[in-house]
Amino acid sequence: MTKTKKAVITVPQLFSMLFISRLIVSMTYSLRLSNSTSMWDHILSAGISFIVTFLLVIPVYSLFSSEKKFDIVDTSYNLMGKAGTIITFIYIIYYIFVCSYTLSVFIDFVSNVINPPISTVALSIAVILSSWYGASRGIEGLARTSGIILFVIGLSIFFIIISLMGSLEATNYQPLLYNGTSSMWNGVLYMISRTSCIPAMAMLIPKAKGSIKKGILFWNVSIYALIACLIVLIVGALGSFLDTQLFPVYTAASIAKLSSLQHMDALYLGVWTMGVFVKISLFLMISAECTNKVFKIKNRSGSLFIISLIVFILSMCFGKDYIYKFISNNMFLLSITVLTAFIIPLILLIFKLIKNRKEVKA
Amino acid sequence: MRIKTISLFFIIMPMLFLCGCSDSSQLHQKIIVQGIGVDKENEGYKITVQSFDYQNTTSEEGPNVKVISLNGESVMSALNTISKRTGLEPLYSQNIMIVIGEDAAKDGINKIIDFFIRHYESRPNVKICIARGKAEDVLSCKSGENFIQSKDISDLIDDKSDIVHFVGALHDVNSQPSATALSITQGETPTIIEDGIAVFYGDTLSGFCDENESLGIKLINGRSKGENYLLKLDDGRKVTCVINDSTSKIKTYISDVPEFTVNLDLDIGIFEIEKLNEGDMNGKENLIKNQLIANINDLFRRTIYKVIMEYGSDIFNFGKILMNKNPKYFKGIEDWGRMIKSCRYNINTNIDISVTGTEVTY
Repeated sequence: MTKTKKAVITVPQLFSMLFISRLIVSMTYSLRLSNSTSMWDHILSAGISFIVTFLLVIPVYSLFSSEKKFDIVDTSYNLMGKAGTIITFIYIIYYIFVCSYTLSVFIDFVSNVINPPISTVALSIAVILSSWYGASRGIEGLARTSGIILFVIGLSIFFIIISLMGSLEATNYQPLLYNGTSSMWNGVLYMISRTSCIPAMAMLIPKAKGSIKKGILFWNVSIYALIACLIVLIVGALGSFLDTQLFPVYTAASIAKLSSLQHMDALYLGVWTMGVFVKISLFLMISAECTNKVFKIKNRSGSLFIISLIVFILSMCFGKDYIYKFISNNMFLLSITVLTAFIIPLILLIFKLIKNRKEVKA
Repeated sequence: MRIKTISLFFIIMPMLFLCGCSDSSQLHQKIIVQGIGVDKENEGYKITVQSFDYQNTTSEEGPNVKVISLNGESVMSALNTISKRTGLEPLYSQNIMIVIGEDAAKDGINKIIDFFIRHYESRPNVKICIARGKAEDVLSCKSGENFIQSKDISDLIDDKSDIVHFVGALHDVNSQPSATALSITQGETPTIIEDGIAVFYGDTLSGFCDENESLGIKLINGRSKGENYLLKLDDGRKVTCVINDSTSKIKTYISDVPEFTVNLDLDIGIFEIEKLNEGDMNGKENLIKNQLIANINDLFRRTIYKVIMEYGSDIFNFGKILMNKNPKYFKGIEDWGRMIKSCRYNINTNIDISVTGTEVTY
């Protein structure tokens, strides 16, 4: 468990992947999922979440930035012995859950807004197969693909933003916190509870070469700047109409037009599909890596296949209304995200400090 | 090698079995919906659908247009009969306008609008208008042998008279919706004309504003660019003005009651002056300007009286403007619908006139 690893990707590549993974969460952004009444209040939520994300990332950063040889699995085995297996299992379950949840939200979107008659089974199989292939190519292949995808996504988003500028109306921005602070706090809950990138960092930082601090700073600033920009655009362009929409970012994209170019929803769909591919591939890959370490499996493709199968089955189960409601609950998502992003790394960090002190004394 | 073999398998298999052309509908098997009309009839609705007729296309200029009438207890149930009646599959994503009959609008828009918000093929930027009389008459109006096409009718409808703005205002407790009104001229060759603006209170049609009052509404909203205005001078001569540009800024302050001031900046071009030879126009530019200001101020008062005092409808977003300026005060208002009638309304008109065809610009 203490085998040293070579850094195989650069920090910009790592945070490109994490940016895309976080971006697709922002694209599903809605009042329904955030359990709020005023989306304009979420501009404050974005500011608060920006700071909270920095705080949440401290234990992971402290744990891995100084000693990049070990990831969360190695560190937990090194510090806790066999009890590290429990921690590894928690992360495996979390990563698999994130894959399944992402897929079920994507299917929810396609079957509600794009094409209800579509076969959700066929769609899930198609996404899982492509993601499985992406994961099987390893971190380097995925990182290179993400670079290209990020360029295309950036261009598409820029195009959508420019074309929506002309539709903004000042009267749509109602006073902040007009109906109290509940929308703002629900917005914070929503944004933080979907920050699955920090637990992913616990596996990925040791693979990256370069300044992690700069990467985290750039990633967090760009994510919340984009979220704030989306909020300004959606609220300004849609006004009260957004209250009626399940996926307002998609609706805003569909009304965007620039000269004779209209119906930018196709761009949105492309951005999201590419994002889903990157995110599921990434999480499949790290969950397979954790599994291989626990069971000491050398061949990655076997575990990857089994995990892909589990993700497929879970995403089908998550499609049931009552399960979907439960797993989309902000408090539930927040608790598992805080556990994997903050609490476990913090415990490990404390263990590490105690161990280091003992070693110094010895 | 194994991954390559598996990948190859998954590339070749879909080519053989998922080619996607076995069950697909051809263009002539679809009804490409261009316009939907909704009329109230007994306990249900009469839906008129104008669509492209790809089965009987004879014209070289493009597909013919056909009109189908359907009945049902709700919009959806009526539209569902379209396949039974024609054997064709409807495609709503190409729909460009919704015409609502006067009776249906008086009965309540909330009863019929849901399909156009909820259906996955319905687009948010579809234009919406109210027919003076029946929607069916508008969509089945013929110019010679052919139906007047929806794309030509939709050019008459204001750009902001779409689902996003209409439903947004409907959903907003502090504002009311309005939409372009259409009617059919009687005569040998009937034509469809823009005939004022339909004003709503809540989801029910309160009434119509005539051509002059509609210009007043457009002036207050700063959306009167391109409109014509006929000015009658005291000496009986007529001056035809075109509004080249218009901007409107609404300011509010609270004295004993809320007071709204519309600051209107107009760039007006004079293209036609009657009987120019009979009198010298030089030196009379100020006269035209002053009379124009007096007329616009009078138009403003008449429009405010009709829309605010008579219909009690806030289609100008006065409520939102007050809420943004003074949220605490606005929160204390129990019934904005009643309060709006007791507010004071002022106008400051600033006009720049240019006379084309001469070198004089003032």
